[in-house]
Amino acid sequence: MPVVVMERNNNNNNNQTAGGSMMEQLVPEITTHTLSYLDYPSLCRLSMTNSSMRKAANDDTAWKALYRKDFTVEQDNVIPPNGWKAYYLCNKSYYYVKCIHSTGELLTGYDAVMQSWQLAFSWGQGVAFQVQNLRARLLTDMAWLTMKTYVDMETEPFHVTNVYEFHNGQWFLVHHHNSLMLTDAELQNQNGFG
Amino acid sequence: MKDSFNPSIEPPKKTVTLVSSDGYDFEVEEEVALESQVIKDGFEDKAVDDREYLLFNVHSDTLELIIKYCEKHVSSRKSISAAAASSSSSNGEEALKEWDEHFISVDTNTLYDILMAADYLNIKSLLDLAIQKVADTIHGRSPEQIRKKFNIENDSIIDPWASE
Repeated sequence: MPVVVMERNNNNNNNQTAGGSMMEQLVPEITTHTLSYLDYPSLCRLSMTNSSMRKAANDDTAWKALYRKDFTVEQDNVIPPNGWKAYYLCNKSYYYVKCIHSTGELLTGYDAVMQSWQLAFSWGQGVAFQVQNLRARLLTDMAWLTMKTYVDMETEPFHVTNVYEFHNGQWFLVHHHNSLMLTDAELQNQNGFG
Repeated sequence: MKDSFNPSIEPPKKTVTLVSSDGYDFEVEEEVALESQVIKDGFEDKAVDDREYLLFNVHSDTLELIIKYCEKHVSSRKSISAAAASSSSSNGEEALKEWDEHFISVDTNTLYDILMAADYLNIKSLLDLAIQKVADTIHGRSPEQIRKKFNIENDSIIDPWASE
């Protein structure tokens, strides 16, 4: 009597929707397996192709695999509260970390921002700020602070806005905006025209 | 008659028959068929000499490729270990890798068929090879190019960031 080789993925052999693309037809296990072979740009680009791919590419297993590849293998004790994608992006701090200096210069991406801050703060023994009018708004995993900062009497004070995200028990600064404050005289002037 | 006790003479090769979904018989050597973990598991489970396997999910076109792959890997493994035993230098691993690369350079539909068959028959090295190929195909391509390559329909024109 011949042996009949059965489908391994029994729950998937109802061939859900006939047609569709190759990627969509792949059984979920293979799709996940495939996604774990992709690097960060590939995963993002694949997710931009259509809605089902976006759903597939949001699979936490894929981001966990990516995290293991790009950062560390010590994942056993990590349970990211917002999933591996958020955790990965936070560590990658890829596109959305921004810093706007008082000069109007805009920096995007973790590396660029850190580099510019290293330059800014390596002048001497650090910079002593005085902070006034600190206002904070705190949500579960996001917070923003506004403040006025004074470096010394000679330089103009600044308006500062900082936005933070909470990831895995830690707050991360993801957006910093710094503008020169108008002096009283300038304010008068502005009001005169306004 | 003494010859029959000579261990250097191999016994006749045992074969099994694989039947494709479209009803074609493929007679292959046992060790080739055992590259499939599914067949191997079934083989070890039963003492019966079931020599015929019905593969309802593999078309003859694909099965031919799969058998070609398994035969190559069985023979390569032998020559690699033979070379290792005689401690002669061999580039068997390298050559096999090259062969694999050439083998998997197929159109998207064939790649899909190989992928599904490798999963169904549980041939891990082939599944990995095929999946790596899919990943390589995606790598470095724009979303539009990926759509074209894999025939993915773009349904997200309006708002690509809309929530599910």
